[in-house]
Amino acid sequence: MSYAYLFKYIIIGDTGVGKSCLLLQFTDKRFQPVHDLTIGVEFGARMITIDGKQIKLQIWDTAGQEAFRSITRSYYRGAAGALLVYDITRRDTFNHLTTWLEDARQHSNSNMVIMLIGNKSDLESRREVKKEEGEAFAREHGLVFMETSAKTAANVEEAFINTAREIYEKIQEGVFDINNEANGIKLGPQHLPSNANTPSGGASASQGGACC
Amino acid sequence: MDYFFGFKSVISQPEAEPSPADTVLRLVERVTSSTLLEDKRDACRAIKALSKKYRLEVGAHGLDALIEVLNGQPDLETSSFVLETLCNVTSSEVFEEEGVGSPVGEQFTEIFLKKAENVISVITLLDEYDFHVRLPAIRLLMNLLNNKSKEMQEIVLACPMGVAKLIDILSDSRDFVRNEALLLLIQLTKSNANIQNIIAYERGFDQLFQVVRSEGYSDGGIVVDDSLQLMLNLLKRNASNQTVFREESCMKHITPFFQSCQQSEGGDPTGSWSIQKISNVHSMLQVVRTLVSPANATQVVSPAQKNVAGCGLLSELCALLMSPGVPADILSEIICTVGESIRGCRSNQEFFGQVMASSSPPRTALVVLLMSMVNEKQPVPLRASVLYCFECFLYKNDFSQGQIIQALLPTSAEAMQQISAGQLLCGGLFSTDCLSHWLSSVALSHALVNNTNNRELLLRVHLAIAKDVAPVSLLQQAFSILQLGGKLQTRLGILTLLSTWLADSPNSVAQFLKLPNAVAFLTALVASNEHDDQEVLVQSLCAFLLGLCVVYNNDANSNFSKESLCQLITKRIGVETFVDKLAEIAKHEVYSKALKHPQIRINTAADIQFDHEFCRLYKGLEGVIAKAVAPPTSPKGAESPSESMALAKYKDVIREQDGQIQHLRQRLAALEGGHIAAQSKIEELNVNVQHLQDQNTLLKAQRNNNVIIDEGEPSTPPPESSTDKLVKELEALRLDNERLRGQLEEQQQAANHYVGIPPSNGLAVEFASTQSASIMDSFTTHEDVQVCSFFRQPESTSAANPLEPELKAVKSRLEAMEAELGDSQKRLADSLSVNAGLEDEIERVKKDQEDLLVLLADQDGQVLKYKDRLKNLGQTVSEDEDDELDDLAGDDELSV
Repeated sequence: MSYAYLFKYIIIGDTGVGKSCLLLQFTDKRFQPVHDLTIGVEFGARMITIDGKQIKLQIWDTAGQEAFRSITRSYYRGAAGALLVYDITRRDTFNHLTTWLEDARQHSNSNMVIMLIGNKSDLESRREVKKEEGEAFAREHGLVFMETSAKTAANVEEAFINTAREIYEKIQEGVFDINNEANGIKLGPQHLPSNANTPSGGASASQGGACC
Repeated sequence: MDYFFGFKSVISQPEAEPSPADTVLRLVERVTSSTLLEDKRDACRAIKALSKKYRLEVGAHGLDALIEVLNGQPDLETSSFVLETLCNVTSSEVFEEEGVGSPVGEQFTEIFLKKAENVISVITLLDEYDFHVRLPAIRLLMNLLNNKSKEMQEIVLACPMGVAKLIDILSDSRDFVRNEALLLLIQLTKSNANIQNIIAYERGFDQLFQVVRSEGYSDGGIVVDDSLQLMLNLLKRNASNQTVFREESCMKHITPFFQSCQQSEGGDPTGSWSIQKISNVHSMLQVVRTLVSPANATQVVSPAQKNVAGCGLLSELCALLMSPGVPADILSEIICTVGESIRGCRSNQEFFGQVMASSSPPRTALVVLLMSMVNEKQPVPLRASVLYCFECFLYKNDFSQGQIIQALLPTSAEAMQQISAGQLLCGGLFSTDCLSHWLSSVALSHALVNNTNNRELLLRVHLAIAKDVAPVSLLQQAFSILQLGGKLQTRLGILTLLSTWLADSPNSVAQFLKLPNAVAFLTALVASNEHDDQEVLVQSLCAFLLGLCVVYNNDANSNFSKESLCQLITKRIGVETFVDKLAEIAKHEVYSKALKHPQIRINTAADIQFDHEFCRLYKGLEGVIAKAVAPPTSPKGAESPSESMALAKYKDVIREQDGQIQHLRQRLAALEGGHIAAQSKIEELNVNVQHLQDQNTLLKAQRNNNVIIDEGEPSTPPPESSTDKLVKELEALRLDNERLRGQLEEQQQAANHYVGIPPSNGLAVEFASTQSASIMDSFTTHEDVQVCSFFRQPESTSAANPLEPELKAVKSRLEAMEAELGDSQKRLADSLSVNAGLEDEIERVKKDQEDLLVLLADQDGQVLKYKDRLKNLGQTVSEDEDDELDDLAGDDELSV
């Protein structure tokens, strides 16, 4: 399938907050209650539509454990969006948000859209972090906030799509330099200006259609 | 060196040549102590000049100083000198100038890597565009990586943006810088998945394809090969990166690469491929094979295969396959690549089946390939790769399997004119080349894998050996070849074919057993005592074949029924020998090699090889055969009727006992459950009783407390009897009081009468006061000291006072006492009623307790009953209740 834009996302946050489950729910629409620890990174992709435009999301799921932190840092630079996830049933994961945010701000490009996600909203009885606290944190740091449940899929689509919409709007406003792929945004084949290397715009588009 | 001499004159030591160590020491001192930037730079330059010849000295004395300069954000020129010096010091090669010396690069690398920030400083210097800095920085990193690969990988990973910066250099417009970076990345990505992933994330594939494209695809130089090597590093055994590769639709960039192979072919028909081109194409084929390798997980492979077909790569490869001038080793690699691209993917297999070769009678590519497979003039690896491709073509493809066999059947007479794949394979069986025998029979066996229908169809195939001889069945022919002996490969091939044929096909087994001498021949071979390594293999395969005849025997042939074959094995070979021989295959190293990977790797014609599918068949059936052949009861195997009768009886008994055991087990489980429930109930009751007892004690305590509190309060009168006494006394006092009042009045009257007689008056007063004193005495017995003093005070002062106020005081006191008394009585009544309530409650609790005790007794009786019942059921029941369950569990097995 051909796309207008390709956005690179990363998912960050403490270990066990449900990053991999969020990705799995978004890409495969399923929930896996038992999940191994993510080692290094994992990868998933899905196509979404915004403003009638096909947008491909490439999502890189990072390891939350401290041991992999330095590896995770290597992924900030090339990402257009980041989902910063905490677990509403574990206060410590909320308390660590500041560290994550500092890390992200330090190593990413300044335009990276960060969405704050309070995951596991289905476990209301074990809630330790109030929704208002999440909202307040997001407001304070200029993030978009949402509570999700990777288990029931509540708000999962919205989280990814809203982030994409924000990036899309930034592109429309001209904030992002879309010609620099290091920002985590890539123009689709049909948007590329035809040059010597590609025979013609139409041909490359049809080729893309065959391969994706 | 010019500078070196100049330097000497500066420090003015004309009399003697300073030792190199001294010179280095002085220079290092200048580097560390000099405050002038230029001075420092010059010293660095001088050290650099010495660093090859006097590497040891420079490293030993100067490393720390150089590192310090490096970490202190030096200017470009100094950076360049320091980096080049460090390059020389850490290099793993021995320089010519150095003379003979042990390589010390590794030791200096170790020292340099002690602090991660040293590496980070070097990586930071990569930001400098000046190639005098960037290039030595890359080379230094390369040296460090060569010497201490693992440590460097970890440091680079931990360095923020470390990997990213290296990737950025791939887009450096200066080729020589980019190429150095490429080499560095190849080294860096070796067996480190984390770095591989980051590079893929940083659009590494895109960048590499850009390099490949700009270098002119397959006709490019070694840089193309390097790029592809890096790509291979990124993809090998890295499922995540393979997904990225697919997601970023990188496959389409490979297609033009192979197009470029042919284009140059057309442009230069006479020229053969350059060595570099061969190497480039080979690397690219490896990239494709890594993506579709059967060693990967299926969920990764099948989308990759579809991708290969989708972007026209498969057709490009097939075209290349049929085009002339492709070097043989590349051709075999292409055949393998095509094979793995279609393996188990139906649409790709269909596509491949229809590819036509450009030969004068139109033939399919498959037929052309098989023709070269059975052609002994073709190189061995090529022939092996054709077999592999053919296997991949038939893998999970019952349709094509059927087609191959169908073409051999006599019904399709008109098709006889054309050469079919099956015919070629049968022809291969008659060739004089033993490798052809092996390849053909293995290829034919793949038409039978997992396809029972084809096994039976193949039974109907007859071959016309000569014009005047009646056609013989293929089975007969195969067996004849086997009987003729011949080379090892021939026999292994035929045995592989026969094994695959007979497995899971009772009809084929029956047909095989009908062949004259079949069983005798196999038995003789298995029983033979030759210990030649190759002979043992053949014997082992024969044992396997014979075993298949036992396992898949439908008893249609009375001479060779399952039982009679077993007897034969027992008598003629011996079960143990048979099983030992059967196991020989698995002990051979080619077996384990073949089991690992489906591809056949034969380099010379003499290499023996097992087929992957055959090994899997063997692995699955070895145990089954050993079990089927081993006599179930007696080691002698032969059973007389009486024995079998006895056996049947025992079997019945066992079955019955089994049933009983099952039944008893169930009962036991039920009883155990009951027991546990009862125990838990008892426990519950115990807890209840305890609870009630506690409550009881508590209540008792509360009651006592009440009493204690009552007694403890001094102002409240003692309850019950003492109160009564008090009341009586009070009454008496009141009476006294009244009497006294009366007397007083009398006396007053008398006093009024005897106003004039003072002495009597004084007497009366005295009398009254003594009276009141007596009252007070009676009071003091009951009242506390305070009260006494209250009364005494008037006594001491009342000598002069008239009696009235005293009396009034007494009266009021009495009234107060009365009120107090009333109050006390009320409280007493209250506490009495509370007591009564509590007593009631105690009564009730006691009753409850009694009830519970009765219940407990009942439970005990029940438990005893259960125990008795368990005993009756033949279970030994321990008296100890705590161990009862464990004992039961233990007894369970014993009694069974």
